[in-house]
Amino acid sequence: MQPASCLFCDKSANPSKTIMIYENYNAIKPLVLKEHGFFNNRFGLFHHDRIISTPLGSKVKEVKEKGYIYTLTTTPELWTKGISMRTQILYRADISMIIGNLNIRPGSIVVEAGTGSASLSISIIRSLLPHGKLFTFEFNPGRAEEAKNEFIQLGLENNVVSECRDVLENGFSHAGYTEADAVFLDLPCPWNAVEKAKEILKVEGNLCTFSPCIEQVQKTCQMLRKLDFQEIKTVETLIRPYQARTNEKGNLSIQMDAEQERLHTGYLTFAIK
Amino acid sequence: MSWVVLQVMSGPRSLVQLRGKVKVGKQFVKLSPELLYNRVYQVKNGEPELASGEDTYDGPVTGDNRGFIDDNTAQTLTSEEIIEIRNSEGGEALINTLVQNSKTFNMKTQFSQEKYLRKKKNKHLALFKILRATPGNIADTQYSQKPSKSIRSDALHNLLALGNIHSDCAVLVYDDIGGILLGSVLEKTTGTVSVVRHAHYRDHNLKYFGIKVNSERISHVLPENPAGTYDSLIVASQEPLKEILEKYLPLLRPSGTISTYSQDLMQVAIVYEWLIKETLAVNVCLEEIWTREFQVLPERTHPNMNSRQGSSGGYIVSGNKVISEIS
Repeated sequence: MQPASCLFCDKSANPSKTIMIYENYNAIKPLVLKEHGFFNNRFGLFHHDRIISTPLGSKVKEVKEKGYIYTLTTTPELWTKGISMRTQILYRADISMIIGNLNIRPGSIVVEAGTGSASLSISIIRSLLPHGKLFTFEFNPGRAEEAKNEFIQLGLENNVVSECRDVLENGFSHAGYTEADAVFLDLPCPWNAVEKAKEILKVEGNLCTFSPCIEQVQKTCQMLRKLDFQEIKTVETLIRPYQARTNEKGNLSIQMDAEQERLHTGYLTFAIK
Repeated sequence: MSWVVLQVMSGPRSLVQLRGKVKVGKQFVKLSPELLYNRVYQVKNGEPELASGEDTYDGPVTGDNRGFIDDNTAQTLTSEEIIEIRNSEGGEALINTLVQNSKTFNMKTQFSQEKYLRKKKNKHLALFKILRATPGNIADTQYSQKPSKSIRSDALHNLLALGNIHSDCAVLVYDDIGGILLGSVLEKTTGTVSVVRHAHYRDHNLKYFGIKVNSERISHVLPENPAGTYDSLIVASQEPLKEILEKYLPLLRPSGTISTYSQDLMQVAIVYEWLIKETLAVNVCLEEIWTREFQVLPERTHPNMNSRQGSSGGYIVSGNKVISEIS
């Protein structure tokens, strides 16, 4: 069953919902709304009730009517941007490529290990709504717990099973599914997990591994060939940010935005069972 | 009958249906729905036959090219003789003969022997495979034939993510790439999708997604439609983007996502500056999508060198619409 209102389509800021607070381009944060709640940032003190009374996408002023923020609907892209400031995560170029090449769509059954910061998990869940399901495994108990709480807070718990598990030891099987449409691995030694991943993938199911180092990719590809995976393909994908503004002469000047640019994230290897 | 991507090994990609005959290299082959996906076939007497898997050499490097003379005389067979042998004895016999008549084959390293054999196989054995017509595969296939009328898959995937496209969101599509964007959005959603039927609108690619042009899931939009209806405005066009957004941005609700693709950096830059200057959106990003593929083989890992498409997948400007009156 589809929840009454999907988080990613929220138009209004309702109590207990998670919305995004846009301070500026480099400061975007999630906020859980509470009736009569307050929150503080460098622009001042903000009433939750004032936010709740306006539609998302509004400019909202602080109590002294000077500083302001914008309220936005939670999307996986804003969420990823929001948490990228505090932890190492997968970025949007890689996430988009993973979702697209794994062909995740409404109804997909997807398996992920490890969960990490759940930055990718939330994008995966968005793509498989309303009836699909993500099974995500994380061997770090603290992180697994945190991810579980986040899924509940975001109201996504019907579409995700989050478990603390070492997949290298215990594999990917789960009573909640029989075959996976897609498997994603972000592990230090993915080559040790691909055989177990193959067991739970459906025929023609898609696999993806993410590794920062080329030596990891070589070992993974060798194992994929040995296990008779098809269409083995390794790519590196990046976003090159630009800025554009009209200069004193009235011409539009377009320049690379070096501060925002990332030169390497990792390699994505795709394969089909 | 559904469409598939036909990949001729080291050759072109095209969209075909699994019936009748298609040309692979210099030969014709009969396609049928029984073919397996993602497996390499070899054409034998007009019929597809599963090709045996290739082993990759994983040992030490021996031999070098000190004895090579680059005067094109390494192969002692003439091109007439090569065609003659291929026609009378078949591709595999020809490759064996080519190796026997190559003065340099035995001097080559294991790696370059493997490369030599792979190239000859691709050329003379008429190898091909069929792939599922996923949105990414359809986009890349069309891009490889007419880049200006398509979108590369990396850019498509980013565009859809930035557009927040998912099952029950209300999407307004402006498609100038023959229905590839509309088809992809329909595949990622479950309800109806609204499309602008503008002057250049074509939807000949929709059939590859298994969607009929008159599908009940497609509705048509006019600029006069009620304001603030849509969660997502998604555009792929080579036309002036600002004019498109000026017309259709009012139909997007506050906090809805704007996601616009073009191969023209100037067009996205104009939109970028306008959205920021007029405070029509926040979190406005202008970016180029950059991707490259790697050959990963033991001792031979490097970026692919044969990509004719370059590393740039085009430009995207994106943002989240806001209303600027103060609350």
